[in-house]
Amino acid sequence: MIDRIHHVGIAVRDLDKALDFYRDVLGLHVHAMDTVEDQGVRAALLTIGESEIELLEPTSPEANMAKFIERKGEGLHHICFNTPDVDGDLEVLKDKGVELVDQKSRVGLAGMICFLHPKASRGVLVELATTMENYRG
Amino acid sequence: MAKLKKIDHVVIATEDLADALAKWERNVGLKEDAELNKPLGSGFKAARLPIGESFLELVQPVEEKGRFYEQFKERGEGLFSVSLEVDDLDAMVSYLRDKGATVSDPEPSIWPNARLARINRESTHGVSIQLIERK
Repeated sequence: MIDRIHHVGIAVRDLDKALDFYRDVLGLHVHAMDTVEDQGVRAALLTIGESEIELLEPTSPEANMAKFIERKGEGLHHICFNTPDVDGDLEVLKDKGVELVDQKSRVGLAGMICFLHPKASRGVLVELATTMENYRG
Repeated sequence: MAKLKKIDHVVIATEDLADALAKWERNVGLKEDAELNKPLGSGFKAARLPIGESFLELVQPVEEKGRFYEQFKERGEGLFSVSLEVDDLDAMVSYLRDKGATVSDPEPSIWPNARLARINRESTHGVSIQLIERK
């Protein structure tokens, strides 16, 4: 069962330029920066209340994030909800026949994560995440 | 200096509010607790789905006119905008304008006891961001 917005993911062409606005102008604190090679993104996580804003820059022109930006431009990419038990939630979703991108949870920036197919929510890419501190795999 | 407090809400555009509400409840587990029909003379209806300290706002155009409809035509269904709560809206608007951002004048929100201003997407790397102040 989800209990809060974990983060809102934003696709950007240039992470450093995006930080000029989100960190330096809006004044949000960057609590993590990371590159996830197999997902083809360099990311910054900025804290806001109990949630985060995740800025995602493609690491190569072949990365999915680069293709998203080519198609739709920079902007909102996905929304991630926190859950104490991503694996349990995935089982429930599979039983219900909900359209999924990931059949099993995997390591992501937010912890153990999975993506639902946008069809499941009329065009919104939804991610579920259990932070590593709370994950009992 | 004015400060951002939290993600107040995330706006999601849909062609079919009833179907979207059914899918969000069944597949994601979020339930509406309030609905507005053409608030403030707008051409849309909206539903609120609480989650933690925030909520999702699902919005469906019901008339072929207005600011929301024009953007919806261009952008289609999906994530539409993010609304960030600020402790002092007027101070934040003038601060952002000093920094070179284009920001609309504050106006009433469709949700009671709140005012908002919109930051132009050119200043935010493509994201429609609203700043909202609650009384």
